[in-house]
Amino acid sequence: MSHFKSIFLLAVLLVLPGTLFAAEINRNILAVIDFSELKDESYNLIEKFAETPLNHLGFKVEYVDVSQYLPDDKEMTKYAGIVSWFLDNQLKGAPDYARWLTRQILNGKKVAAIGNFGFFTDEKGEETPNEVMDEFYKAFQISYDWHERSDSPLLIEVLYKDPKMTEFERKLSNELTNFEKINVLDKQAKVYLKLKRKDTGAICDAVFIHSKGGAVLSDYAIFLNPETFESRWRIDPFTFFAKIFGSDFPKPDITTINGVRMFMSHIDGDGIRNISDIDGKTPSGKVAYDEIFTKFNVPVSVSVVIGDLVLAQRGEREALFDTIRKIFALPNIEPASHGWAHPLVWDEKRRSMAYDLKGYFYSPQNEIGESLKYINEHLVPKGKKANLFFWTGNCRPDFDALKYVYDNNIGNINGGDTRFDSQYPSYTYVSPPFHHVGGFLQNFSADANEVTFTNLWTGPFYGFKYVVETYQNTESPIRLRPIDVYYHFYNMERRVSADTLKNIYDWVATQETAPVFISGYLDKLKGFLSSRIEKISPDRFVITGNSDLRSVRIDDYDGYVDVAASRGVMGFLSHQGSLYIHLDNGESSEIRLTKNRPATPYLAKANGEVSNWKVQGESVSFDLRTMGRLLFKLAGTKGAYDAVIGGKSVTLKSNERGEIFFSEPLDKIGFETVKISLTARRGGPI
Amino acid sequence: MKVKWWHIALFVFFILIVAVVVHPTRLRLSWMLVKSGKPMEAIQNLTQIYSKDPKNYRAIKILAEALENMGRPEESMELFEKLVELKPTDENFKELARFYMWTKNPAQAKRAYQRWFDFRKGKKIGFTDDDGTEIVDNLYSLSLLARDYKSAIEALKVRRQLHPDQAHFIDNDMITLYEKAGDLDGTIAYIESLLAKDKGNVYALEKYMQLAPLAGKKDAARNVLIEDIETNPKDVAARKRFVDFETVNKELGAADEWYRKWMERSPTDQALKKEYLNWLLATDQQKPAIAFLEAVSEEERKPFEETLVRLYEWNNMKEKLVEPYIARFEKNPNDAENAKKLVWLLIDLKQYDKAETVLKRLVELHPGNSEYALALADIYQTKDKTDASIAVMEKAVQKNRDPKLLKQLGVLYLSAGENR
Repeated sequence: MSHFKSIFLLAVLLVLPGTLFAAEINRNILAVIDFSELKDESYNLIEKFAETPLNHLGFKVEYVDVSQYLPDDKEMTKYAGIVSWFLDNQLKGAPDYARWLTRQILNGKKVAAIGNFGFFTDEKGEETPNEVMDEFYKAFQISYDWHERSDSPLLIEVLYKDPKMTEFERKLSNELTNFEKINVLDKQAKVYLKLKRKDTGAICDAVFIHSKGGAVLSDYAIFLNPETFESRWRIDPFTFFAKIFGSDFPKPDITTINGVRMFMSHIDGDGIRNISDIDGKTPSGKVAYDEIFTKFNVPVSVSVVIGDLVLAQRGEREALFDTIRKIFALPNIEPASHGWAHPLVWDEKRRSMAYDLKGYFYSPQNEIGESLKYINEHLVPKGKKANLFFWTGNCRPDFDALKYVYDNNIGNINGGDTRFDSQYPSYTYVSPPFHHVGGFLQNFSADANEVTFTNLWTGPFYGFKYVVETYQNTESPIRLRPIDVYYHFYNMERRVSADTLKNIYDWVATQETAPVFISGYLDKLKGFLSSRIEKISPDRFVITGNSDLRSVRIDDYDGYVDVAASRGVMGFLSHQGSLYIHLDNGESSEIRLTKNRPATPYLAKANGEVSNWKVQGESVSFDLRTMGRLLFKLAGTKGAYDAVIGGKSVTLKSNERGEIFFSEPLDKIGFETVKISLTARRGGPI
Repeated sequence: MKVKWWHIALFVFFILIVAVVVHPTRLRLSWMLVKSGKPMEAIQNLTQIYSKDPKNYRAIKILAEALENMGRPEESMELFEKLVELKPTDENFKELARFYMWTKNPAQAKRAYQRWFDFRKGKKIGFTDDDGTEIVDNLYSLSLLARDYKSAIEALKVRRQLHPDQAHFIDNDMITLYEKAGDLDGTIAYIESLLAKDKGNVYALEKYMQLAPLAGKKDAARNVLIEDIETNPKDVAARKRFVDFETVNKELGAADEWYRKWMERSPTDQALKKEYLNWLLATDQQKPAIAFLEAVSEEERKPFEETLVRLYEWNNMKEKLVEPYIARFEKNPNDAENAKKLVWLLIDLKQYDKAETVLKRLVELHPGNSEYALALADIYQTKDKTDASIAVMEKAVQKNRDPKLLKQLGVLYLSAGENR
């Protein structure tokens, strides 16, 4: 009997290789904040600056106001680490927080402390007891002497700096404005910025990473122009957080579909009735229909404000209905709502509306639910349904509004105003994809719209052209955001602004992009949150729960994916030092990395969702859903292939690198699913 | 009336005048074309005028605006630059600065504001109007961005004149600018000028106490700080500033002397005593801290008892620890950590009688605890009381079959000559 038991156990071990030892990558980071410091949301430095790089590294950020609540050990098992970025050193319940943080460090949580530690005194100015501070210093493996503080650049000099880490976007020259005698005691620590006080000779480890996490002294994480609050990173936040929290796992990627950068476009309903200066008589909505939606074969998610229909005069109203119905009937258009009365400010205490409508009163149901209902009942053709809400006005929905969209499963987007251009040349202006509102997530749009480029639509009316710089800077050196051409109907009021928009779409057409509707992008964001990543070994990972997100990315990796040994993996692409891995639509995918280039065909890139992916010997077949252009690249191929692409037969030949690249325009407006099959020529590869 | 030749001449002259006035010039025509939404035609006209007369600033201006309005700012940049060269006016400088702000070019925008600033200063136009505010604000912020502190200081000086109500904040900002510029002598001179005007400028005072020693003016700074304390004897911050100054400058003895003087003056000031103690601890003066705590009254020591025990521990002052450990034990004999510390301390100090008393109590409270039983047995052994030792162990093994206890009991039996 025991003999059979042994055989059975052996069999089980063979059948379940590795998975027995799998460990889920903990992607949750707890951001500790002192809510009393935040005069408004812009004071939340973690969300404003740190969340973007953390998200890029695959981490999800949750916030807790530690002046009110300290999670217990059980709750803390959920988190991989802690980030703090306090504005000052005063905190309600400072000693309790200090003890809690010490405990977390002793429990093995990595801590990234940026700026002030935050707990030197309580809210009454009572100093945290020395012994409590000493316990913290001991646990965090540092020493600290507050007597040596100085903010005078004349007293501070650099003893050592690693410019890559500490002068990422701005040099330190003349800006050594903080000295605190903090010294790291961990012998394995890496100090990136070491300062010296000229008068006392005291030494300060201003930026360091060690076995307990890492820290950056105030003034050395970002530069803030004291006059305008323009910001630049001083540290390289991508490297800083990656080194503290780890980065050697496949990260769910919200920018890419099958190796190609996502592209979407969306328009807020404002100004649809405005008469365009172009001819002095046509409403901007009609100009958009005539010059954009029907001329560019790109996906546009279009929203309207119901208030515009209510306020339109007789005659104008019929034309407006007609225009909107025609717009929504186009196959490249996805319908959405931009509200009923268009709140300008969402916050209950200061709420105001763009439209004063008789009989209307604000409620999430009236503003969001009823506007979508109206659109679906009166404006969209059969077979289409509007289920998206584009936030209006200040784009700061309150808890009730957010709760409403979540309760009713309505997609939401807008806000963020991401910029990265010559005026704002910094990752500090790249907003995170999410904004946290009482446990709910508002989805920020991926890029800013024309409002910020035109000084709130007062000019320059060509200003939107500079958005291309943001598209370029968020693609290279790292792909951080998809392209989102986001504007308003009033953009069509002027010839120059309409032409600027066309030039932007023309520029997009020169790029390799994977078009999606806004709803498609939101699905990727959901997938980012729901993905689970298990590490079986350093070169073996299992991805589950990723839903519609099918792209994962491993950074700083120069190997390949063993596609044949992997499961649910169609292919991969090395791009800018990262490996983008294309998952199929299965429920679970297993990635196996290798140092050897695969010899069998795999998908290197495709500009849309791929389904029915099949590889049989040297033959490949798949369906590619895209718009405007059909683009794909296969690798691991040899010789010539008889291909059938959308019913047309063609011969495709591999190049010397074993790749087949295909790119041709598609005539049909809207998304199209093209069947593609490649069969290796008889007689074997040539 | 007979028409005379000069009648005809006058009529022709009149017609010609009307024609000259009413008929648009090419320049005016171009301007009208721009305003009527026909910029392409205007640009053609203006380009021709400009190529024939490159100094025609009116044509240059209209052409620059027309090109920009057409969304071709790259082509209008050179023209806006040329315009201020040919016709340096407020209006043209404003256009140049606006152009660079709109085309997202901070470096050129700063240059434009600097030129506009210099132009106004040269012409003594002043900065009290809206344009003046715009120049000063933008020049200041763009200079900070570009680390051009000389320009920033110039801009801030003008702002100080414009906003005397904000002078205090501007003065402090000015100190930072001098510091960032790396000008120690300039910074010291500026701070001294501020302190001469206002001794209560704490920011300036704190900067002075940091920087004066670097400039060889340590005594001057000390005198200013002492004067500050004497002027405001109840100002705790002034006192702390002085102590900080002496501490940073490694003059701990001087600071200590001052503290003692203050405590002598205010013997009942508990906050001062606490502050002094914290200072001693923060500056790692543990022995003086112990001496201080031991010297104060029992009542005053009470809040610092824990600290004193810790200091004894850190300084390995074992004898001093006995009393507080025993006090803690009596207060809470179930505090296992303290009990263990106390037992090992008493054994270490060979105070076996006290150790026996404590352990007896512990064994009573925790009859199954092998550690306490073994320790008590050891004490008895040390005192040659083998029977008592055996009794303790026998009692313990009834409660706990810990092999360690059994083994020790066996050893005790053997040493007692028993073969149980």
